[in-house]
Amino acid sequence: MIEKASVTPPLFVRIKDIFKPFTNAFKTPAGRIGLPLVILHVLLAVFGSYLAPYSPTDFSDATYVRPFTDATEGSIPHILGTDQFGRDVFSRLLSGARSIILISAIGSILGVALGTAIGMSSGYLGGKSDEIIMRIADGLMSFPSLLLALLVLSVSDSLVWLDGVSSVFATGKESLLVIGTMAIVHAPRVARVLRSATLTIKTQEYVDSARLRGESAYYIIFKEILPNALPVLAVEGSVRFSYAILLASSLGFLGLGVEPPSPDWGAMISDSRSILTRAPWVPLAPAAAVASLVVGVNLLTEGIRDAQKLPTELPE
Amino acid sequence: MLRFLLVRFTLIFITLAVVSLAIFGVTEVLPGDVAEAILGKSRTPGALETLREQMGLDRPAWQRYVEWIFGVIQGDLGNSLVQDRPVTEILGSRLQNSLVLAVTAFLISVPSAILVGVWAGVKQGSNADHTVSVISLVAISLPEFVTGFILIVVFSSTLNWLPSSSLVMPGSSPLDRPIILIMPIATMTAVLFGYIMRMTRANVIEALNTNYVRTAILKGLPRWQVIWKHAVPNAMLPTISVISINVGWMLGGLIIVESVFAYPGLGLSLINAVNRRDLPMLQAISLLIAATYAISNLFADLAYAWLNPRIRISS
Amino acid sequence: MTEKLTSSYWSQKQVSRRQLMRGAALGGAGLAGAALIGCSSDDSGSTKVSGNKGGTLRSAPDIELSTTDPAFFTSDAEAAIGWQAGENLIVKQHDLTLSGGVAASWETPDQREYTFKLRKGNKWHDGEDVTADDVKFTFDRIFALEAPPAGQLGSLDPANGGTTEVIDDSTVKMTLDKPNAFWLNTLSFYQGKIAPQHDDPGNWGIGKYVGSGPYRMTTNVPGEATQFERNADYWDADNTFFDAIQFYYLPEPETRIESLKGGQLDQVNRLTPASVPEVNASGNARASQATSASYMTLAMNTLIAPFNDIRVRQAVQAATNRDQNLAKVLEGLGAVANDHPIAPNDPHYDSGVAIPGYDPKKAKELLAAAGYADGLDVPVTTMGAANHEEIALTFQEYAREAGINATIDKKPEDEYWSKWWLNREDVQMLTVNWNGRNPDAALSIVYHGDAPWNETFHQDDALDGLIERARGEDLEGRKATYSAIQKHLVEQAYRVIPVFSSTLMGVGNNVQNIEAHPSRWPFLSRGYFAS
Repeated sequence: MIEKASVTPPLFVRIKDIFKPFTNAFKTPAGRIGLPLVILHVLLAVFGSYLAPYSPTDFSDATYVRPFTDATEGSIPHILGTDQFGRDVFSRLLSGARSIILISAIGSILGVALGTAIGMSSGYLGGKSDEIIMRIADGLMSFPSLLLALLVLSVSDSLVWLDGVSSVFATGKESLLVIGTMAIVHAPRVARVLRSATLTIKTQEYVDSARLRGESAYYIIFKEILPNALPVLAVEGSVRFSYAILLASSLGFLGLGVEPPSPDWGAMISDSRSILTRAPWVPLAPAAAVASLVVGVNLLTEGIRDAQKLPTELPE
Repeated sequence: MLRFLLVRFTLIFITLAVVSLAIFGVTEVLPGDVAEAILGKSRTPGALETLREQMGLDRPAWQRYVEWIFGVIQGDLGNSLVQDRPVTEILGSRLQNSLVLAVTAFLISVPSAILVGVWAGVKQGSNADHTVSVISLVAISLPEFVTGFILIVVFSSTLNWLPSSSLVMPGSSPLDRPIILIMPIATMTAVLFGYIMRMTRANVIEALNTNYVRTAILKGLPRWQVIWKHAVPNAMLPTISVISINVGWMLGGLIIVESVFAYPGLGLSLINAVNRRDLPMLQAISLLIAATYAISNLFADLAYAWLNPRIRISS
Repeated sequence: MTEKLTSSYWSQKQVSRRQLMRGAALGGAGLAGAALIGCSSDDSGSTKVSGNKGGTLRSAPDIELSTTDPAFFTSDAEAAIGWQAGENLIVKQHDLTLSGGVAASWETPDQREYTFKLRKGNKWHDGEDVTADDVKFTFDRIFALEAPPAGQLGSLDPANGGTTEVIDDSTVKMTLDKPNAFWLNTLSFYQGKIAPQHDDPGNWGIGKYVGSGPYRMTTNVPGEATQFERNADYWDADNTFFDAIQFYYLPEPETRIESLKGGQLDQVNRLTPASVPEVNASGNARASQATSASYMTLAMNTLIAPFNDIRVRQAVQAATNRDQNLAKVLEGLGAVANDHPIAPNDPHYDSGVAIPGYDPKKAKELLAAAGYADGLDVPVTTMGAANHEEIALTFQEYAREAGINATIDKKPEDEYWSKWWLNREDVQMLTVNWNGRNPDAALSIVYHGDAPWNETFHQDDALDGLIERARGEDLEGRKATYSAIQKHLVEQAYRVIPVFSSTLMGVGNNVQNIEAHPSRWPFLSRGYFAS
C-alpha cells in the first residue's frame, strides 16, 4: 500500500537547497569574483548610510572638489569629490545603493515567483489553458521592459488609490509601480523558461509515480517538479536581477520613479549633465557603481551556470 | 510548411491583440478619469469637458478601443494633444531617424559579433578568448546611458573629437551631419555586439562538442571545413532567435540612447509623450515598438523554421 | 535674529550722474525720472552700426510656445518671437535709455497725458500701414480681454478712467488716471507689441504672427523651429544685417548649451551659471552677462492651507538661506534679494528694511504657533530649466532644519507656464522666475489685487493703494511710498524672493552686437556676423 506523503511545508523546498546553487557557483572562477562583488554591494546597501562620512543631501561650501584631494583641516576628506552643491559624492553613492538594490531585488523576486508559479502550472496542466497563457505571455513579452515601465509610470499620477498603499510602506508610489512593473515584465519570461523545464521534468518517472499515487497537482508541482527546477530557477533569478538593476537605473536616469534629492544612481548621472566637463567624477562614480554591481551579478550568473554545466545562455 | 506558416500568422494577430489591449488598458482604463489624468485639475472648468468630448470619453471603454484599432488599421493614429497635428505627421521623420540609428547599429554589430564569436569559440580557453569574454561581459553589464556617458566624457569633454549631443536641427536629417551618429551607434553596437558574440561563442563551443562534429574531425576533414561547414551552421540556429530577441532589446535601448544624446527619434518622442501625458502619441509609439518586436519575432521563427531541417522536413 | 545683509556685487557699480539725468540707472531698475517732465524725446532709435549683411542666426530659446498673440506672451520663446517680428511704441536699450520704436517721438507735460507721434510710412508685414488706430486697438484689447499686462498698465485702464485716443492717423494720446512717472518705461513691456487692427491676433493660430518689426516670421512649429526673414521695409533696415533668424526648440537646457559650445548654434537665450566657465573656454562662444533685476521666487498659494496662514509664510521666509541660494544656484552671478522686486541699487531701494536672515529656530516657532509643531510637508512644484530646480533643491535642503519637509515635484519644461503656473487648485508652492522691470511695473504686474498674474492670489487693498499712489509722486514721495511697500511685502511674505539673477546669454564668437540685456529678453535684430 503506497501512502500519501505526510504534511510537509507548502513549498517543499529546504532553505539550504536554495543556497546551494550560489555556494556551488563560488567554486567556479566566474563565481569567485561575482559572488563577493554582489555581497559587497548588498552590504553597502544595508549598512551604507551608517558608513557614509557625510549626509547625502547636505550642501556645503566645498563645491567642485576633485576626488582624492586632501581635506581642509578638521574635516573628513571627500574621497570621491563633491558636486556643484558641495554634496559628498561618496556618501550619495552609498545612500543610493539601498534603493536600487532593494527595488531590483524585490521586483525580480516577485517576478520570478509569479513566473515560476504560472510557468510550472501551465507546463504541467497543458492543454488549452497552457496555450492561452502562453499567448498572453508572448503578448506581454513584446514590450521592451522599459516601454512597459514608461506606460505604467505615465499614468501614475492618477492612481490615487496607490497613495494609501505606498504610505504603508513609507515609500513613494513610483517605487511600488516600478516593482510591480518589474514583476509583470519578468514573469512571462520566467514562465516560459520554467514551463520548458516543467515539460522536461514531468516526463520523469517519479512524477508519473506521484500521479499514480493520487497526489494533487499542487503537490506534484511543488514537491516533485519545483525542487528539480531549482537549478534553472537559480540561473533565471540571477539573470532577472541583473535586468531589474538595469531597468531601475535607466528609469532613474530618465527621472522617473525617483524624487529629488534622493541619490538614485541613474538620476545622479543625468543630473550631472550640466557639469560634465567641469566635474566628470560626479557622473563617473555612480556609473562605476552600477557597472560593478551588474558585472558582479552577471559573473555570478555565469558561475551558477558553469557549476551546473548548463550549456547555453539566453539573453531575455 | 504551409500549415506552420498559417499557424504562425494567426498567432501573431493574437499577440498583437494582446499588445494593443495592454496598451489601451494601461493608458485609458487604469487611470480612471482619463481627462483628469491628462490635464490635471484644470483651471478652466471647460477644458476638462472639451477634452472629454474630443476624446469621446463618455462612451464605454471597449467601444473606444475598437474605434482606436480600426483607426490604426486605416492608418489614422489620431492627433497629438500637445502639438495638435496628426501623429503620423510628427512620427514620420522621427521613425526615419530612429531607423538610421537602429539599422546601422544592427548591420555593424551582427556580422562582427558572429565572426568574433566563432573565432572565440574556436579558440576557447586561450588568452584572446578570455579577453574578449571579459570585454563583452562588461559591455552587456553597462546600462546604455552609462556607456553613452562614458563615451561623451572621453570623446567630447576630454578629447573634443565628437559633439556631445546629437541634435538634429528641425528640418534637416541626421545624415547631413554623420559625425553626430557615431557615439549613439557605438553605444547601441556595444551591447548588441556583446550579447550576440557571447551567444555565438557558446553555441559554437557546444556545436564543436557534438558527436556530429567529432565524427567529421575523426573522418579527417580539414579544420576550417569542420568549423564553417559543420559547426557554424548548427550554431547559427539558436543565434537567430537571439538576434530577434535583441531587436526587442534594441527598441528599448533606443529610448535611453536617444535621451542621452538628445537624438530626435521615436525614443525621445516617447519620453516627451510620457512627460506631457500626450495619450495618442504614447499609444501610437508603444504600439509601433511592440508590434515591431512581435513581428521581428515572427521573422525569427520563420527563419529558424526554414533553416532547421527537422522542422522543414516534418511539416 | 535679523541680519542686515549687503551684497558687495551691487555696491561696486558706479552710477554716473549723467546716466541718472537721462533717466537710466544700472541694475535693470530703469526709471523715467524727472528728466522727462516737460521734455520731448527725439528719434534716437538707432545707434549707427556698420556690420556685414547676411547670414542666418541660429538661436535656441526656452521651449514653451503656446501662443503668438502678443497680449498673452508669457514664455521666453513667445517673447522672443515678439522681439524680432514685432515692435513696441517705445524700446528700452541695453543701457536702459528709452528710444522710439513705432513711436517716433513723444511729449508729456505732466506725466499723465502722453502724446505719441508715430513714424510715417511704417508698414505691417502684410503691407498695410501702421496707424494710430492700431495702437489704440492694441491697448484697448488688453483691457477688454483682461490680458496679463492689464496689471502693470493699470494707469491706462478704462475702468480707472484711463483713455487712449486717436488724434489723427499718426498721433495717439494716452491719458492716465493719475500721473505715472514710470509710464514710458513700462510701455517697453514685452507684451506691448503693437497689433494690427485689420487682422485680430485672436484669429491667428500658432502658425502666424503679423508685426511691424525688423524680421518677418515665416514659419512656426512649436517643439521644432521658428523661422524669420529680414524685413527690408523696416524703418531701421539699415541697421539690420542677418538675412534670416532661426529658432530651434531643443529639449534640454544642457543640450542647447552644448550645441552652442560645439558651434551648431550662434546664440542661446539662457546659460546656467555652472556652464559659464565652459562656454567661455569653448573657443566657439562666450558668455555675455548683464546685471539685472530679474529674480527667482518661491510663490505661495495664499488661498489654501497651509499658506493662507501668514505665520507659515513667515516660517518659509525664515527657513530660506539667501546667501546659499546666491552661492549654490547662481554661483555668485546675482545678488541677495529681500522678498520684493526692487533691486538694491535702484534709487527706491530702502536699505533700512532688514533682510530676513536664515533662522531655522524662528521658523520652527512660527510653525508651532500655526499648528505645525511636528513639521510641515510641502510639495514644491518646479521644472528643470532656468535654475528653478536648483532653487527648489536649495530650499528643500535648508528648510529641513526648520522642520519643513519639502518634496520636489518636477514638471516638464514645455507646459510649465500654461499648466502649472497660476494653478490655484493643485499647486501649493512653486518656483517662478521673473524678468527685470521698473519698480512700478514689477509691483503692478504681480502684487496688485487686480493683476491677472497675481500668482499668490492675495487681495490686499492697502497694498494696492500704495502701488497706485506711488506712480504719481515725485522722487521723494515715491521713495517713501516704496519704502512702506517694501516693509509691507517683507512682513506679508506672499512670496519669498531669495535672489536677483544676472542675465546670462550665450553668444557665438562670430556674432557681434548681441549682448545680454538687463531685462533678460533676447534682442537679436541688430546683430551681425563678424566675418
